[in-house]
Amino acid sequence: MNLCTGCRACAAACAMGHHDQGLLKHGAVQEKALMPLHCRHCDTPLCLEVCPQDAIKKDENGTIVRMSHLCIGCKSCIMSCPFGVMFMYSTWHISPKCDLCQDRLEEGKEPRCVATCTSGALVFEELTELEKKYKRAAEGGRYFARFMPTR
Amino acid sequence: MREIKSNCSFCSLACPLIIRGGERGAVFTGQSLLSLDWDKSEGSKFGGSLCARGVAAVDYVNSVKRLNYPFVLGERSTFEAAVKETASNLSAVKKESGSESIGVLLGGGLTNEEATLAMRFTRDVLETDGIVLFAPDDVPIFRFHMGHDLSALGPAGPKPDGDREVSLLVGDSFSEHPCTAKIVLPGKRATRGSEVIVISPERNHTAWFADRHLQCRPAGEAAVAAGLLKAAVETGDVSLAKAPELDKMIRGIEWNAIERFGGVGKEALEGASSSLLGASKVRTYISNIFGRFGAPELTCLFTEAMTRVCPGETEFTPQFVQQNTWGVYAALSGAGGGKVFEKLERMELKAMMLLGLDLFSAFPAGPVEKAMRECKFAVSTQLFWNQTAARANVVIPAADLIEKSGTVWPEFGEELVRSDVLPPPGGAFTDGEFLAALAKEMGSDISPGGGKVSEPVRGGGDGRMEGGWKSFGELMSGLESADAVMIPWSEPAHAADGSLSRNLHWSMVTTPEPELMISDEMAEEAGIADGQRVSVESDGGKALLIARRTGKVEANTVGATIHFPAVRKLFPWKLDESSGEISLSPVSVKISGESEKS
Repeated sequence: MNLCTGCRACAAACAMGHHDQGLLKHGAVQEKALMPLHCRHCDTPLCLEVCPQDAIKKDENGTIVRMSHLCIGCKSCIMSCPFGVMFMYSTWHISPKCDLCQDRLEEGKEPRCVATCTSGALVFEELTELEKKYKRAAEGGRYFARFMPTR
Repeated sequence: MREIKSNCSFCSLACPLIIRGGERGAVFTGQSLLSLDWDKSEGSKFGGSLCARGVAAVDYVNSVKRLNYPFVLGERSTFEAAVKETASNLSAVKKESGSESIGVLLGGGLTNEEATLAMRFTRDVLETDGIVLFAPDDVPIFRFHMGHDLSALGPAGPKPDGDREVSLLVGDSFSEHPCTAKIVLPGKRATRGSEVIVISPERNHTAWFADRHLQCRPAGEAAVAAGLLKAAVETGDVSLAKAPELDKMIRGIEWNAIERFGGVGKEALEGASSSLLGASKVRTYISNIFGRFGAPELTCLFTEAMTRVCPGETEFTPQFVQQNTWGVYAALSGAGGGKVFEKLERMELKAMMLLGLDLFSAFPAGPVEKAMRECKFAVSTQLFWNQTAARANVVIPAADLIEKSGTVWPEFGEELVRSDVLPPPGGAFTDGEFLAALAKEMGSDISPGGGKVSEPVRGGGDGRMEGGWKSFGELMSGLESADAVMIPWSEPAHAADGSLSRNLHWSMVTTPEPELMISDEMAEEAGIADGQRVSVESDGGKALLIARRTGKVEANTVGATIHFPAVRKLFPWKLDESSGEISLSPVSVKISGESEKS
């Protein structure tokens, strides 16, 4: 959070990569900083549990994916998400969510939001790798903001 | 699948990008085969990152709204018929009213070769020198850059030890050019004592990152830059003897004038100046987007001089609004300008050619609107059906800079050669092809080709340095008595008709209407609530904007989202009669909280 310059290139890249349907939104924190609010891909996701259509699934990598063709737009996942990162697109009548840019991951590339981030505020690494890299964070140092809490 | 390495064509930073796709057909087939990738290869400028506009580049060039055929009087036509119509009208105007009544306005969307071709066309075929570059924010910087050679100024001493890095950002923000953050922020974090110095009237995100935020008065950047240089000269280590005109000017400027116009104290300026002089690496970025400086030419001059005298390794980067404005200006060097803007204001132009330029996109174009309404004939090359196209008699579907071969000059001294670029969509023509066809129709041969465009030689000062500070002082004194001073507010998130980020659909939700950034203090005083419509009046006109209370501006400063047509008219251009060029600056405004029915 202390690295974000608020340029919103991540949100733009996300929208451009997903047929204008941005899966990542911004929340302003007291006008001082902006942080991307994206899916945390929880271990025990509430959205998955509440979805009446089983439109939300967990794949073999632990990524939470949403099947847009199954979604009926009931907004249950939006209400259940403890991080408030699911939101509604009334135009498409579905709840879009971050898919970690599966198409790019398959090519061995980082997600679009990370690729375009100019200030290094967004990184794409395994949590264990990150913990090794920033030992102080695990001890409650100043890099706490790099670790998004999950459930 | 083909991969094309290219550069973003939006601003002068020309970030590298890779466009992937198959062979390109007509845009109206709708099926987009193109996608964008980040050029992360080693040595890639800015590490391959792009801003919000950059990632929209493919949608911009591949938009289904792109023009695919020419229009004559608003009706669909063919290229041959449009060229014939243009040729006959230009010939008729030339015969009836004379060559001097034809004006050619160019934008930064042309390559160097096309700009040269346009000049040859104007001189040889139209037989006039009425050709100008329309970029009121960049041109004052270019004029001074050409007029005054500072290359004699050198480092004031041996390179300091260590690797302390200082970045100076004048008027530039990470929001506008986030790619600079890729360079500036790692430098700041790398070494203890490294600093970021920001000169800006806004307390924005960039100022939040700054170690020293020299918060100037709106339009007062030139005074702060002068203060930095004066503080350096007064230490005795720095000598400007090799630039006597500048030396005389800096010594003539009083500290109280700097503090009054700049709004920054002497102590803060001395601290920042010594920080710059003690750094082993100095990076400077300046940006006069939409005319946020009161005196762009002086700001550029002082900042460049300050960068040159720093003993460390230096890098000076002026950032221009459109990619090739410097190249087009260089190609036009030697042209008289033909007092086009003066004639335009007086509505003496009978025919106008607008090439590589959407006049109504970002700049106040009230006089142009009137002139286009009054003139007999106007032809324009456009990518989209926009306000300029709607006012022109003939519209030619144009190619974007990303779709043209040739050379461009994004920055001073940095030539970029474009080859094997994306082909233009079916039905679109480059400005070069149009000019060549038009010349042929009018009985001349100026087929593309010819000599290589060379960067003009600096020097030959026009002796206007003194005058520059005087007029800056007059402007600042005028703004002192104003109720509020309005500065252009620009973020990639603003997606109005004129913004290059108009294809960012999500941002149309965030900023659907023009907004006015106003401080809490001022809003309290005037009884303005957040989200209320307020009436804003300047010399350029009156507009209704939505008030947004923010802590980013001081009490006497307001910011208006520049990309909306209603806002642009509030910033009228100023005509400099001696040079015949136009410029922009922040304006004094009156704000009333009473909401009015539009």
